[in-house]
Amino acid sequence: MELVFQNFEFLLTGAYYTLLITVVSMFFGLIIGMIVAIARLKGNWLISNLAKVYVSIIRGTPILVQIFIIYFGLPDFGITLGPLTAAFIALSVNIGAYLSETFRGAILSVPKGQTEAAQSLGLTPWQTMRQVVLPQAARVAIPPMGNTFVGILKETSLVSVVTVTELLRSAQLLIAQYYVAMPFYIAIAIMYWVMSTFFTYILGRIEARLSKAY
Amino acid sequence: MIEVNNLGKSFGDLVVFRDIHLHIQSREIVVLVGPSGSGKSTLLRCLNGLEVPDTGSIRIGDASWDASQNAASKKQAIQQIRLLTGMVFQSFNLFPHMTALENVTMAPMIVKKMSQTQAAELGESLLAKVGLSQKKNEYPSRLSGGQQQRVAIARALAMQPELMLFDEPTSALDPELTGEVLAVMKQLAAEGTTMVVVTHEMKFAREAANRVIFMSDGKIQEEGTPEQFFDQTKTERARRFLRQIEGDAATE
Repeated sequence: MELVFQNFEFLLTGAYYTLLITVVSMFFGLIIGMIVAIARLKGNWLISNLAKVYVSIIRGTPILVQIFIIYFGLPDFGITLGPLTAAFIALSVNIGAYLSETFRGAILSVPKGQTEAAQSLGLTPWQTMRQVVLPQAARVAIPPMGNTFVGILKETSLVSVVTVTELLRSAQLLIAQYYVAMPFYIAIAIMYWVMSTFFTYILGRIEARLSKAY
Repeated sequence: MIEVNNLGKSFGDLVVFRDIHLHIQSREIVVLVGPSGSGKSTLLRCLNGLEVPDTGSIRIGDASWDASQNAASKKQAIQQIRLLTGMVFQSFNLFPHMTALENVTMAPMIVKKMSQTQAAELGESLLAKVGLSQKKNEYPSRLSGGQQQRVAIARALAMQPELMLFDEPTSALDPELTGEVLAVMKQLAAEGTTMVVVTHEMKFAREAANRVIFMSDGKIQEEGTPEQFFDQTKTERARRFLRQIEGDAATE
């Protein structure tokens, strides 16, 4: 256990990268997810089918394979990315696909009468989306979004395979150095759990806030 | 001020209505009655661009829509028409994430770019008009059906439309709550608001309407003043409809 405390700073750096990757990929994943959801719902035949294919490919292949394609595969086409950049891109693209389904469902859950009321008042389709549909969809989307967020926090451990020194890999490096495994694994397990619980709590607060009208 | 000519609408093979001619004067109150499925709600929704007719033309004020226009002019015409008409729905359709006041002020702020203070002033005066000043900060979920519908009326009035459309505004309400909504509508009628109302409230039609239009099977079967329609009904179809309505009222 002492070894853990001696190297705690190193583990914290790992945790920092785990958080960084989670937050950055979630941020871009949100943007991608929103665009893809609207593309699927409002786009013409071509756009909506492109979005559909994207979602199908990402959801139908393992995230580890997606990470490998971006980090090890793209250099064959002359695109070489740093490990961290590759991690950001792979996870954002992955989250985007899952969130787009969440958003699509949430947008469809807003009754048609809401759109009609907004249009009858003279709002353009975009204003209707922005003022009326999305705020109501957000409330529906928050709980599944929280699951995605916590899920991705844990899945960041996968990018350790492309040498990003996030939490898992920092533990593995320490284990290789000291030849003791258990304390380090237990320590990072606790750190993952603390971070997940913290985010779950924050999302619960946001959900309560958005629900105050109901 | 409103001229509807030769209007027709079908959903696939189902003809909802055809050959509708309707001229409405400014300050006139027209009540549309008829059995369900007669096309009256769809006709009303066409006047607000929520349904797109297949044939014919609609002119409201300076805005004119014609089935033969190209897509871009149609879109523009519908947008213009929506600014000139206010719509009140059977199911209220208030925005649940906004307070009563925000429901009323949103469109003037977003569409007309009115300042927040100005919009709030307008909103408060309209909520006062429908008797709901003290509820301005409540969310719709905390209001009764009748109160929600009155907020919805204030919301439509906030855009200062030239024509108010009511699509069965009291049909979703408990009987004891219809009175407060009808009272607001009568007040609007007395102030000279041009209104087209689809309703099953024959008492309202008799007391407030200038003209009653009876629709059935996708056609205007007869029209006239409330006295003509209720006391000297011309068509057998309308007589049967009125008997049924009276029968329902008697058994209640």
